[in-house]
Amino acid sequence: MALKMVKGSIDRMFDKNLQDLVRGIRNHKEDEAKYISQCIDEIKQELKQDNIAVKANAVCKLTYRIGYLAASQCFHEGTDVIMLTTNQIRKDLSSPSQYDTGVALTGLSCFVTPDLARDLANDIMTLMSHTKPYIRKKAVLIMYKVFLKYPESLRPAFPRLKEKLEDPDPGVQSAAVNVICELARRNPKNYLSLAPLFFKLMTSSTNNWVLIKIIKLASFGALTPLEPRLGKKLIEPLTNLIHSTSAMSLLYECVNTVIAETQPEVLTGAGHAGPSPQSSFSVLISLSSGMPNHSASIQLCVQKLRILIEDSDQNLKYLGLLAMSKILRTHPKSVQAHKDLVLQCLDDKDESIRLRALDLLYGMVSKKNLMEIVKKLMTHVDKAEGTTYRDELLTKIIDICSQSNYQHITNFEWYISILVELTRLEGTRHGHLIAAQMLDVAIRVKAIRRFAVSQMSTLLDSAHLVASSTQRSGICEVLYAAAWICGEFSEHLQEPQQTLEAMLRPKVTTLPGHIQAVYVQNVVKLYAAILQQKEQAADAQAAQEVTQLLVERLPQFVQSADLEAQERASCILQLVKHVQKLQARDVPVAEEVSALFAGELNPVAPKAQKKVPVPEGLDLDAWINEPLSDSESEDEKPKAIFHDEEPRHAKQRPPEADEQELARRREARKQEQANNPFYIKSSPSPQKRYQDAPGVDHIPVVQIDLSVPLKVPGKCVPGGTGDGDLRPGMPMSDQYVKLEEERRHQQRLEKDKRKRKKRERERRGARRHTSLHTESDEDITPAQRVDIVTEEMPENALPSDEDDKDPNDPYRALDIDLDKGGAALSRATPPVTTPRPLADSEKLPVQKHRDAETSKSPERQDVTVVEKKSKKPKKKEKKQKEKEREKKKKKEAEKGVDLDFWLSTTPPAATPAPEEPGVNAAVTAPKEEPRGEEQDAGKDAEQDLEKKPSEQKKKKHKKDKGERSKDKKRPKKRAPPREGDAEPVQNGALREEPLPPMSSYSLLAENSYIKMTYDVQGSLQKDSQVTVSMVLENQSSSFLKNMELNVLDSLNARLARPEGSSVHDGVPVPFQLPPGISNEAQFVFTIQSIVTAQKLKGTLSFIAKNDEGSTHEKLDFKLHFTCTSYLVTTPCYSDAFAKLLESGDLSMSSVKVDGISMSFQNLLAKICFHHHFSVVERVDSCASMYSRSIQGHHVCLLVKKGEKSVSVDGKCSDSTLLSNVLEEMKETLGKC
Amino acid sequence: MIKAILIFNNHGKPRLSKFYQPYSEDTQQQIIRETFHLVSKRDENVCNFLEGGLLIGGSDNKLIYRHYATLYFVFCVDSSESELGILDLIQVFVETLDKCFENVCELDLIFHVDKVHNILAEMVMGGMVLETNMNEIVTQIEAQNKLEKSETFIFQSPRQDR
Repeated sequence: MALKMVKGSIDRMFDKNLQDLVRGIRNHKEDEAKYISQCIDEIKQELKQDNIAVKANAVCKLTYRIGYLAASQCFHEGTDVIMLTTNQIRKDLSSPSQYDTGVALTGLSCFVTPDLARDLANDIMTLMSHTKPYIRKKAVLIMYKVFLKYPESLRPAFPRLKEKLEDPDPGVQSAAVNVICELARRNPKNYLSLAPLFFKLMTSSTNNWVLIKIIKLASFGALTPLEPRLGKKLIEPLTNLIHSTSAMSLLYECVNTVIAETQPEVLTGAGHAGPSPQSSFSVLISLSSGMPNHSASIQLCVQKLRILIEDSDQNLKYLGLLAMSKILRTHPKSVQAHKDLVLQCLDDKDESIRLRALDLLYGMVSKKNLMEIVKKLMTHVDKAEGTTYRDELLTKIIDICSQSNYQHITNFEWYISILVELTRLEGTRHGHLIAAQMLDVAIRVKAIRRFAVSQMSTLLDSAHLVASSTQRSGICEVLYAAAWICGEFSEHLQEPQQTLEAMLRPKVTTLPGHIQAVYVQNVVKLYAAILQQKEQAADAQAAQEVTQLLVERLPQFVQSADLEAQERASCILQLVKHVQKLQARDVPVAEEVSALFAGELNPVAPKAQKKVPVPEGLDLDAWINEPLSDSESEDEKPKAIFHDEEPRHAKQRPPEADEQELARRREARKQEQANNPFYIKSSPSPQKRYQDAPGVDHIPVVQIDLSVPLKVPGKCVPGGTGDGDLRPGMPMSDQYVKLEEERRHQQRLEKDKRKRKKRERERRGARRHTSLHTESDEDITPAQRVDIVTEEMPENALPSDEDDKDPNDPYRALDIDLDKGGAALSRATPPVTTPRPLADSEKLPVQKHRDAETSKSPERQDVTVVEKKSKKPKKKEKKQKEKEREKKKKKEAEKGVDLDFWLSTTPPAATPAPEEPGVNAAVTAPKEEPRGEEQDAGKDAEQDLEKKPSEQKKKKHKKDKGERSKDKKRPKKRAPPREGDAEPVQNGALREEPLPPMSSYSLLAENSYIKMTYDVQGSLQKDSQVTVSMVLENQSSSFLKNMELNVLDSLNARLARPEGSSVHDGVPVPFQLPPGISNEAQFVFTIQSIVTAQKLKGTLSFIAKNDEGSTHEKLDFKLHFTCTSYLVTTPCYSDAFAKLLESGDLSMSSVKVDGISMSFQNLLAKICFHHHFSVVERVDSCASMYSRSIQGHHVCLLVKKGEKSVSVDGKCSDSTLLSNVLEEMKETLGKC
Repeated sequence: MIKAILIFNNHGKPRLSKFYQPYSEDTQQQIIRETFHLVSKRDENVCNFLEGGLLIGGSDNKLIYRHYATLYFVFCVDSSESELGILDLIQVFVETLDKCFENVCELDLIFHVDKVHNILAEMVMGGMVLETNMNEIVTQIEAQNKLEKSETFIFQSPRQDR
């Protein structure tokens, strides 16, 4: 064994390693394929070695081959080998085969890094003008990825990208549109100048995808807000499209854009109303027809959308809601009218639609309808199944109520009770949200505190319900808020003693640590309040009892596992013990204890810090230390060691000169930044100008004025005993809804009264009905006010200030002005379309090969090629640029495609404006004009869409099913129905149908005496051996004995004979056969190569003995070893099967057999039986199968049954074996 | 942008996954599981859009899916893509597969994993739609197959010599 290993490793010393392989591949330029296949054979050998190192080496070499697919699946920016790939990719990019280049581009798109982008940008730029459109489109598309990683390339590449918008190939055009749409999403104003081009594309392109992309807000959606006149321009082609297209998706986007752009002048601009075509969308088309005025048009839009939402097609419903939410942003009022519809959508069975509806609701609430909507939502909360949706509802309720500083809440008692009701939700994740709201409201709405406290104490009292141990993490967060509110505002508590006891229950210790900590702290606050109360009542006894209670109960917190709780508890325990001592001596302590919590915590506005003035004389921008001068570098220091310390003058420059210098530099830098388009300017930092009255008093805190009594009057709460007393089981919020209605009614009456008086005073006699009273939002005065509203914020601080800018946004870097240095685009100053010439620093780096010493290496050829290619573009670029500039000028001169001119209302004669939409044509012929290949391709899809895909599918399925039951053998055309497949059958015997009797024994030879049948089976245990089972049947009346079998061995196959016998000796059959009897004998053969089938000639000799005597007889036969017979049924799991195929090292071949009527089930059974395969997975009329040869070849099959035919795809580690096996299978199948 | 393309069967077994943003393998698995969970519990006759896949993230993103017999085709896209446009694209993808594999079936995706990826690469590149014209896609794929076949012929020749 050891010797073998040593020998092995010496042999292996001469094996190739990865480097040799790579070098070798490069050396064999001519016959690369041959070389590689040779290497692979070697690798296979190596893999069979025992030595791990050899195996590892082999695997290394194998992975080198797998290539771009593997790379695109597993490389990412962090993969360190990526930096090694640059040259390989560059080489492939310049490959003569367009598919090599294509694959390289595709791979690169998945793992491009800043380095790769920088190094390859130029090569890709070159490819953008490749002769083959296939390459061009890929190169154009990948540029977006390059821009993302290497933004500097955007400016130099942009002209060419623009050029590609007018590429003759639609694919390239589409790619360019895609890239520009993505870019424009980030920074629309840069691309405004492209609007005329887009416009042209819109009227000329026939590619739906391109049209959708252009129409999609990516371009116009983002562009129109910047240039309002664009909308007017747009309406015409849009109308045309709406009239002519049959693609649903395009139609939707058109309509969507119309909706988004609906502005008064836009709609009045579209004066020509076309008769609406008879599509399912016809309702929407009238959107674009003339409308009298602004608000009316929006109204109409919304009404049309309503029809869409009421449609039975769920997709349209969803999209309708989506579009509705877009309108909501600009015209909330018109959408609010459809509240009923949106609420109705909340009942939809589809969660996506419900979520959309919820989203809409957020924008639809007003003071007037908030309570109603929330009430409705609460009923949904109760009904909702599944925690995700319920949680979503919960957050939405809170969002809706709290939006813009509780703007819509008129009664906070109602809100508090809603929050309390929400705590009854089981298993929600959003306990902390509810808690935060409770705290916020209780702190900021002073008037509500009494009520809040009473509610919170009830909550604390029933804490055991809230914090049932199963949902600890979720809802029990509210106890945190409850405890704090009760403690902090304990003066409002009716029965503090009771709450105190509730907070000291032993069960509390099961709560999370941070809640316990809050409990402990607030217990003391309560304690202080009670002490005060008792001492004032001169009830020393009661005061001592409370202290005693604390002393007894606090130790349970001292033992808490949470450090915070523990620490607080032990501090407070000592404190209370001290108080106890004092109390024992009848010393009044209440004053001092409550002094611990004196003062009120005031709410502070966000960003209030900005109001705190900077103390006089403090300059935050000034250096604390002198900045180190640049000249002072590290290597100067050692000098000091050798010189005496002398005063350094350089460091102590006169401060004035320094300041001047600094100012000068700063100025210069600003100048430079202003001129540098790449410098991302920070928005001017908020100025720190303050009023002259500094001090903490200035922090905005608003006092509350109360207009409404806070209690829920007893009459509304039947059976209630006092405020905050809930009638169990009845949601309190409902009572508030009623109450609020009454209150508003009261208000209204009062107002009416006042008005009426006024009116009556003004003009008596003239009567007007006010019964049709419409109450606007402003009329409703809230019952309580909220402290700190946005206006209260410091002038310079916005709530969203700086918070929403993500410094890590990868797209930020793409904000590059493409037209010129700095000047902003505006209506007044139309853009000058000649771009600023590229500065040297902006040119793309051109990689040059530096090594001269490797000139011998095979790379040399590439080097020259690459260099040539990389040099070319520069010249070309320049030329192109010049050409382009010329073209531009020409265009401007001739056509006047200057943006501003182009946008002017009267269409210039030369503009390729579409002719008056063929209204008549649209009516008579539903536009059957040829729309290019694309149309053909997409036709099915479109048709599908129109017929509502799901329905159609279903129909098909039903049909299929019907057919199936009628005629089981008839195969299906499409993928079959769901029900049929259940679980893909795995590794199983197929038992669903009774199988016809099958025998693997086939006739070998026959005469009047004997009949021989045989079967060949391989065994996995013994390498390269097969067993031939031979059944001998005596067909005569003679007695057969001394049977002996002999075969003529071939080079490849030998009969295993007993030891010591020669090649010519026969093997005796170990039995005799009486008349009519059959028996089976087994013979073992050794096979060398199993990849081809073969035949062996042989003879069976025997003595036939009957009454007349005995004769010597013999029977010649031909043993046929098929390739199938070398296969051994081996089960394989689907995962392993997938891995095997992924490895990609199998060669592939396929056969197809027509005219098969056998059921798929039986077919598979036949293949399994006759060809020793096992089914890995089966999905309807398709199955993957696996087998292994006795020499370890993997054979994978994909068997598919079509109409009367069966196709078998095979993959195998040996191609010859595979093709032979398939041929044999073909024969078998031919008989089916 | 398309963030990811996932195909799995009715039982959640992934048949193809392509992520256009780097994720660790664990995260990818989690995403597939979660997506399957979200998609599979939806009825047949509800809309094809889904919001709120947690992992693939962002309120901007959306799942657009189609259910064909045994397979779910799920595209995760951001708001720059048109919903119905993507639905069309899925249809084109499936039809292309059907053309390339003659009567495509779930197991084709496993058996011809490289080819399926190749087809996808002809349609979507780095998360952006490259080609929507089925004929064009099929032509390119067939040309590549031919090329591949001629290559494998060369590959096999030395073996046959022996």
